[in-house]
Amino acid sequence: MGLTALKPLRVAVSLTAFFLILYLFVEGSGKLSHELSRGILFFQFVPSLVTLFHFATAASLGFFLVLIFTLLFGRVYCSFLCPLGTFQDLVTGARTRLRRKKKFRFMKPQPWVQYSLLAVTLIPLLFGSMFFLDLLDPYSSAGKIFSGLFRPVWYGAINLLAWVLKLFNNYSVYPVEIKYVSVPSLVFALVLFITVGLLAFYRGRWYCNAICPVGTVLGLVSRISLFRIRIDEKECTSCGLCVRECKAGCIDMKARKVDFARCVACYNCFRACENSGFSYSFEKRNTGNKQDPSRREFIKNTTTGITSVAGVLAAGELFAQESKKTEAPKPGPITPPGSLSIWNFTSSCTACHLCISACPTGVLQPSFLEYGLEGVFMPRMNNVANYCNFDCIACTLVCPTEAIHPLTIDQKHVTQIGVSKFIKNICVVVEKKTACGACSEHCPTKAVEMVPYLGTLKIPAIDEKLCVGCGACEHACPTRPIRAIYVEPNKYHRVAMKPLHKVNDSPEVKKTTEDFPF
Amino acid sequence: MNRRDFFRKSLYAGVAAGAAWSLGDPKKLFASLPAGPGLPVVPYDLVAVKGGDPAAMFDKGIESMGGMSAFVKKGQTVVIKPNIGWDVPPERAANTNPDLVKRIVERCYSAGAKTVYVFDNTCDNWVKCYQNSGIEKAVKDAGGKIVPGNSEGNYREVQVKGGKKMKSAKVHELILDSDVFINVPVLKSHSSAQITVCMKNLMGVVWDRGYWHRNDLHQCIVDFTPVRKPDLNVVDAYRVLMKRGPRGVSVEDVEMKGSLIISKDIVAADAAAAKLFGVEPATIPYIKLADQAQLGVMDLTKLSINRIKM
Repeated sequence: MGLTALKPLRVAVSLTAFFLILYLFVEGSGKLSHELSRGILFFQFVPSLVTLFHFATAASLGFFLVLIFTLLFGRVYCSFLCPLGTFQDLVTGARTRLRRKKKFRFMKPQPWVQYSLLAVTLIPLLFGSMFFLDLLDPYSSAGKIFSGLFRPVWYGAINLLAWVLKLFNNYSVYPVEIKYVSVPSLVFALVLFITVGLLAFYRGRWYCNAICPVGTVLGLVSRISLFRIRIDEKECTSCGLCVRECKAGCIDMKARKVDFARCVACYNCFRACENSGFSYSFEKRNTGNKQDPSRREFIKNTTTGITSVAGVLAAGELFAQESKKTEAPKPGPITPPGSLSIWNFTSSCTACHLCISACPTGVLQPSFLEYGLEGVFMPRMNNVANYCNFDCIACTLVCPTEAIHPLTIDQKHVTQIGVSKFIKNICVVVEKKTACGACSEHCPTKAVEMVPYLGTLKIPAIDEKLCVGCGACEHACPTRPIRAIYVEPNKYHRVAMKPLHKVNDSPEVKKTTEDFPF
Repeated sequence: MNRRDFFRKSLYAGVAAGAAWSLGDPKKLFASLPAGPGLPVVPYDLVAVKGGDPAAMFDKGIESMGGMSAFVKKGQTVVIKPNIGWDVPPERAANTNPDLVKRIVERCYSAGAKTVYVFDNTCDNWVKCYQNSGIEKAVKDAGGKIVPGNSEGNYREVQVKGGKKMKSAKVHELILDSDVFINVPVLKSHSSAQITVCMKNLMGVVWDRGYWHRNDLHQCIVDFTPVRKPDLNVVDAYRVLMKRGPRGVSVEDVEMKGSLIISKDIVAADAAAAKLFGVEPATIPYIKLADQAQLGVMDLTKLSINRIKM
């Protein structure tokens, strides 16, 4: 029987997926990452689901395919595709190498914990809020760990290499600038890393069966899966070898049952069993009579569940649509180009931080409470960290939830994410009566232009129509602690005017016979 | 001017210069000489070239300055500081012309330089600036070392002696440690400093530019100039960003001036560049202040200038 081949297959697929995703997050600003990310992240459950509710696109297909896989074979997503799942498996693997003897035992299900967390994930969606989903989605959690912790480590390694090479007068490796660190997000990533890591070390995939809302949803679905792992009563000797290998702790040897809802489809049991004591098939094995009613119940539950989730999300959409009209016009966080509006952004972003990894300048940083509690850790444009490169569309290319839509360079050039505002009385030119124009220097559209002030001095003037809100002026402004020029966000992104050019300004080759002016 | 001519003129020049030195202040003597053809008026204070491509103009210009070997000796390390401030392509003229940088690197090596370094502390994202300016490739093709300018660890604190507004600055170690420093700015309009040329280009060798902007930009430019005066200034005025500088918005801001200026005198180079740009040097505060501080000569009539048209 070929069941034993499933584990190596799972290991190969999961490691490939894991390292590809890790690559996207640590080397995110590379061209390759920009091109590959949407493909690699196609099967990520929550991002794909989110695209479905906002703009059903090709990316939404991933969600359906994962559902179909689950309906056929159980929670294959959890062991094959989920980066946080594979992260836990790697920890477990390390543990096995460290302390070979201690293995897994049957674990009790945690329905209360599990369903409460599912509820708190779903209920905020009623109000159009991604809160809890952006904290609990396993892909996004992995993203926060990769982007927030692993990426700086990777950069550190590059910088160390650059430093060593420099000792030999070799400058071929460029160091990476780390201009800004968002502490709350870093702390959260660290807490996630330690918590999930410790849980994996001591309890295998307990996290996936108690905390993870995706695990819970897929668990519900897998109760009606066609192919299911069952213990073959005839072959099983109750030796318990499989139980020791089961990371999910879902094999109850006393009852001789596999709790398939909690099985993460790692297929370790097939390998552990010396007697082919398992089957993985869709035929109904008449092993007990409890199963059928329970299954029917679960079909009911799941249907209700899915209906209510859909209802909740739809209602959330409605509520959010409603609330956008009554938003108070107060300055807040700036959302990246392509995100259309703060509403679209915060209701689609799962805070995976891939765009943050992809951003070559580091202007995209995790927020903390700038979007309010519900938007915690969602990326924002942080002009203190840096400014948005005029000719860059990296973040728009990588977003798996379409919270940031793909833009062409031409679209990006006229996407106005905010508008610069000038605080005249603290400007260097006004306060010190000395020349400055750092803001205008950096402005890519010359929306900030220097106009005559006193004598030969000039001060900035803003043409808001030309401004794209890139934040270059704010970043360059030398005044502290408050910068004399800053970007006020557009809650709804607008289209900026293209810089006007006079026709007679076109380049013209001057005749070299003309004399030198000196 | 063919090679034989050149040697002959150089010989005359040597004799003339020797005579001049023996007679007293050479500047005065040269200033009184008419700059006509056939008259050996070297060493020139400044050479201006017009009508060629950037690399060819440099070759012509440096030849009349006594050749690259007058500035770079065998086994020396050279640092070239172009303007690579912005993430724009060469046609936009916001960065020094890559062909010019490439030719200078090549000439340094042919003069026997041990290593030629090139860097800038850019404004836009430095990796993109290095790439899209074409300078990274140009330097590598010529065998030079393109060095990151945006790591604070590579900058050392130095005292700014006699500085009115600036007492100290963190300066890139290559500027402090290299034997020869060649400053290769591009002439541009500039929203803070009116125009940017040689002295303003030195802002890209320090770490904290914000300080300059906060504390009287023009005075800071002047204060910093003597900290490590370039051994040679080469002004790229091939394509000139006439407005909306220093970054520019489109190629329509660019005018083709097809010129190049070479001088050891940083103030003179800036003054000549200002004239080329179409403004009086004295109207640019930092040029005037630098002249007053005797960092160089702003009055071009006091200088011996070789004007070459190709």
